This record gives sequence, C-alpha cells and structure tokens, in this order.
Amino acid sequence: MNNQSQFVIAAIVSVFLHALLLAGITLGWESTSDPTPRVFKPRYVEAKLVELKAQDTKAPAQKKNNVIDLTKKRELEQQRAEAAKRAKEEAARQRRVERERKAKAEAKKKRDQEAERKRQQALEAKRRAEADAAKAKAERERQERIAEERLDDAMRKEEQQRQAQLAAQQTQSYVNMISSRIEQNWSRPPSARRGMKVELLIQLVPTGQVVNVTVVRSSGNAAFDRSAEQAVRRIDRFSELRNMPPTLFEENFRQLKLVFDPKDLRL
Amino acid sequence: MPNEHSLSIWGLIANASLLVQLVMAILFLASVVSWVMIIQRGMYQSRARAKFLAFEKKFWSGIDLNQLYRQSNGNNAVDGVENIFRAGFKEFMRLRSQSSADSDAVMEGCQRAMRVALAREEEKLETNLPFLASVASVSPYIGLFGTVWGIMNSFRGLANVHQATLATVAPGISEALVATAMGLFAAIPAVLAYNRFSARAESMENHYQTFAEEFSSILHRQVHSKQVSS
Repeated sequence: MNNQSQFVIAAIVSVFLHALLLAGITLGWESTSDPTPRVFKPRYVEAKLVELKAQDTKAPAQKKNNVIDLTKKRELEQQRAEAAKRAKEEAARQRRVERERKAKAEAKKKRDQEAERKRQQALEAKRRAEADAAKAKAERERQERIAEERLDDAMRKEEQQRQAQLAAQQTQSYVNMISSRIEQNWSRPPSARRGMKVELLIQLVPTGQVVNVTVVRSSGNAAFDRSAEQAVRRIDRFSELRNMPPTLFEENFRQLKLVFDPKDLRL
Repeated sequence: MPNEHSLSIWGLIANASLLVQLVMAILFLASVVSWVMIIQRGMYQSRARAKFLAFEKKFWSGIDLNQLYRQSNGNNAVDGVENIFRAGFKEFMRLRSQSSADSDAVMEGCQRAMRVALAREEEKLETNLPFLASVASVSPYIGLFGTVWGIMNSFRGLANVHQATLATVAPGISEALVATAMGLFAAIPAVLAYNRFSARAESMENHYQTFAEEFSSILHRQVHSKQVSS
C-alpha cells in the first residue's frame, strides 16, 4: 500500500462522504421546511365602507368583478341617466293619469247625482239602468287602472333597486381601489398588531384630491393611527376618482369613511 | 422580486448571484480536498505508528542487527523508523569496511546519515498539514465574503420595494448565509484535523529521535568495543 493508492482511497471516501452529506441535507431540508414557508399570504386590506355594509350583503355575487372599465362605466352612467329620466316621466304620467281619473270620477259622480236627481225627478227606469251600466263600466276601468298602476310601480321599484345595486357595486370598487392604494403606501409602525382598527374620515374633492384626513375612531395606538393618516396624506390625490359620475361622488366620496385593520401582519 | 422563490437548499444556491455561487464552489472544493488530506494523513500516521511499534519490538527482541538489516533489504517499501535504522546501519557498515576511518569519524558519519533520514521522515509525516491549516483559517473568511456580498445584493434589491417585509429580505439573506455555513463546514474539520495530526506528527518525531539516539548509542558501543579489542 503506497502513497498513490492511499490517496485514491482517501479521495473516494471523501467524495462519498460529501455526497452523503449533500443527500442528507437535501432530504432533511425538504422534509422540514417544505410545506409551510412556501405559502406566501396574499396581502390585502379588509376595508369596508361603513354605510354600505347592508347593501353589500345584497349583492355578493356581483361584487367580485369590481374591475373598473371606463367604457362600461360610461355606459352604465348613461343607462342610469336614461333610466332616471324614464322613471321621472313615468311618475309624471302616473300622476297625470291619476289626476285625470280623479277628475273624471268626480265628474261622473256629479253626473250620476244629477242623473239621479233627474231620474227621481223624471222617474225613468231606463235612464237609471243606463247610469248603472256606466257606473259598472267606470268601476271596471278603475280596477284595471289600479292593477296597471301596481304593475308599473313594481317595475319601477325593481329598476330603482337595480340602480342602487349598480351604484353600490361601483362604490365598492372605488373604495377597494382607494384602500389598496392606501395600503401600498402605508408603512406601519413596529408596534402595529393584528386586530388594530382605525377608522379614517377622508374628505375628497371631485378631482380626487384629498382635502383633509381625520381619525374618527382611534385604534388605541397613536403611532398606528398616525401612520394610516400619513399614508393617505402621502398619496395626496386619488386620480382614479376624476372619471367618477358626480352623483356617485357626492353620495359617497365627499366624506369617505374607511376602516383599516391590517390582517396581513405576522405579529 | 421572484415570488416563487424555492426555499430548498438547491433553490437557494441556484438563485444566488454568480460570485456567491463561485464562493460556494470554492468552499465545497476546499472541503472535499481537505477531507482527502484528512483521511490520507490519518491513514499514513496510524500506519507509521503501527510500523514504529512493530519495528521497535523487533529491534529490542535481541535480533542480530545484520539480520534485521538484511530482512528488509528486499522490499523497497520501507517506511518510517526503519529508514532511519537502515541509513545509520548502512553508513556504519560502509565506514567500518574502510579500515582507515577512526571511531569518531564512523560515529559522526552514522549520526549524520540518521539525521538526514530523520529529517525526511519528519517531512513525510507533516506533508499536507499546511494545506489543512490554510483551509482552516481562510475558508471562514471566504464564506463570510460570500455572505456579505449576498446580503449587500439583497439589501440593494430591497431599496426598490416600497414596503419592506420580512418576506422580501429573508430569501436573500438565507441564500447568503449558505456561504458562511459552507465556510464553517469546511473549516471546522480542517482545524480539528490540523491540531490532531500536527500533535501526532510531533510525538512520532520524538519517538524517531529517541530511537535514533538509542541506536547511535548501540553503534557507539560497538565501535569502541572493537577499537579496544583491536
């Protein structure tokens, strides 16, 4: 056994040892740390518009596709405007019809009374029968009209509800957008803990510019509140709001209340 | 930021920058080579020790020195303490065959020859130990360098991210720390082996020296007894 063979043996043993070690590390590593840390939690804020909570529950299915499509939005807006106009016209018509009907009914009544008087005066059976027939006819007409009106009313109500749903959807999507922007810009203090909630009142103008931010309900941690406020101030302008229909803006966004509770914190 | 960062060790190594990968490769190679040295040294030194014990036993068993010399004449794979014996005895025989040499010259020649053989044996015992020493001292630094470089890169990447979470930094740092781990992995066995083998080599050298002294005293006795008798 000379030096050469010794070296060969040593080299083989050494390489074998290293291969064994690598295999061990690979297997051990995989089995211990594979399942948990690969799941990166998606980051999201659970921001809810406080006033819209009730309506949110009504339309849970449609809430999902809250992607802002400008053309679609414009279309919707048009539709909405048309529908509103239609509704108004419908209401006016209804009122007119009602008035007419009332006037007619009154006139008829008067006529009837007169006829009665005449009949009493003239005691003519024929006229009386006629008047009765007319009365019955009027009654029938009235019934029909009431039914029609009811149908119309129901339709109108449904239309209104649909409009409201649409508006709520849009609002929700805008709110989601705003809250995600804030979330991106939000650098939370180290003292932030899961379960902290801060409610902010954001005052906006139609250009999307933030006019004022105030903390409505504190989380109990001043640094946390301040950081949320800072995040909104840093964004300064939500340029997406420029394309929003003004009625929607006036309804919801001039004074926007948002609740922030970071659920993605690993603390 | 690559989100589907594979956190297995291969993923970490594959995602590291080129320099860090180079550092890792160097360290791995250093580890392999140092283990080759460690195993080879261990085998050689234990064999030398066994041989020394066996030879010493034979030497003090009262065997005739001429016979002992001739026994190992045939095989050329003579190693360790036997080399010293053979060098000294060969020189002794040669000088004694020249009748002109006086006893002091013979002794001096024998001792010189044994010193030379001893130096060779010492050298054999200590080969590759400097390599182990340098692996032991340098590989942590190389690993540290790789780590610092990796962390530097990872922080530079962090500068572009708005919100720094642990998840954005952690893969880079973990990947960089692999280099330090490998450096330590190469260094620790090298340190242990260097200490052990240098201590063993020293003790073997002491044994050899002692043997050389003893053998020269025997030769000395022989030379002088001959002088007295002649």
